Amino acid sequence: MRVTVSIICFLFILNAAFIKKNVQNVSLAKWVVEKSSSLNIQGETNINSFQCDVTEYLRADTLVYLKNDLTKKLSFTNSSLVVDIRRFDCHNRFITDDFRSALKADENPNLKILFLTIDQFSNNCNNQVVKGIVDVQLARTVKRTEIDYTVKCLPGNRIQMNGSHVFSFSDFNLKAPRKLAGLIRTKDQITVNFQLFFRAL
Amino acid sequence: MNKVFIAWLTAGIVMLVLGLGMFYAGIYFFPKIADEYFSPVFRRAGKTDWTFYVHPFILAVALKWFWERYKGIFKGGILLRAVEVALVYGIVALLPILWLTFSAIDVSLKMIITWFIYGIVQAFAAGIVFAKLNP
Repeated sequence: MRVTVSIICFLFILNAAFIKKNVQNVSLAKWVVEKSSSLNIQGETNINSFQCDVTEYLRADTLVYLKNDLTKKLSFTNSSLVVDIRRFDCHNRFITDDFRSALKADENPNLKILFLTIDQFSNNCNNQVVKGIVDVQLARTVKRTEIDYTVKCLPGNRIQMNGSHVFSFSDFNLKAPRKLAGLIRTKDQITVNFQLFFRAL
Repeated sequence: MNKVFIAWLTAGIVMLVLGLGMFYAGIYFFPKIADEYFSPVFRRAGKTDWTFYVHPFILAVALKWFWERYKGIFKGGILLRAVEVALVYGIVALLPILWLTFSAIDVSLKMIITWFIYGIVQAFAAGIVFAKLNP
């Protein structure tokens, strides 16, 4: 009996020490999303290729994360970017209207990117490539996605993160636009490129 | 009756194939105009797709009736008779309806002109088929 109690006490102390050590290595930090952040979507039709841009991020959003200094992993807490789909400009009024309509912009005007984690993020970030996981929410459908970011540290405590990912309309239960009995078609795959600028607080 | 049916069917198939050929040629040579098909005034592909592919056969019925009724007044060789059919169809049917379309629907003049040419060429092809099979 005495031996059992001793083992339990030992394990408890060991566990507490481990938790304390982990907590000591975790810090809370914030990034403010800068206005200059942009996002574009590249797609192809059987006529042409097209590009739809949102060149300004007008919301004053802040990303909050816990950084583990041991693993260099960032774990975000309820941090997201929200893009108004109605602000997409495809530089051709017909394609712009059709693209917004294909994304069901009237019913669900927001494209939401919920940041979950970023691995191996260090402060020495000169074109460092890191992996991150995000939830992309579009047209009431959420798709969990792994994204490779290229991270660059800029003067003034600023960070630039560029990334790109290929999605399909079908990932979000959407249909790629087709007109004239299917003779005019948009390819199902679209490439989403983003250039995010953050200011560390 | 069998001859009439074969002429109608042949004209429909020829116009369908020719129409698809002209459509893809239009996309290739005039992509800016073809972009306009993404306009919201055009129906999304779906349940009514079949109606698009049936249109040459509807046109073939109309042109066949017209041919049987008036072929006597078209004199000359096959090509000349086909040209006359195409021009009559263009002036009597296409021009007024496309004029009305342009006035009522947000499509460009360039697009309307492509439809006019498309219709004339289709009618010309049907004219050749009819002049050959039911002279």
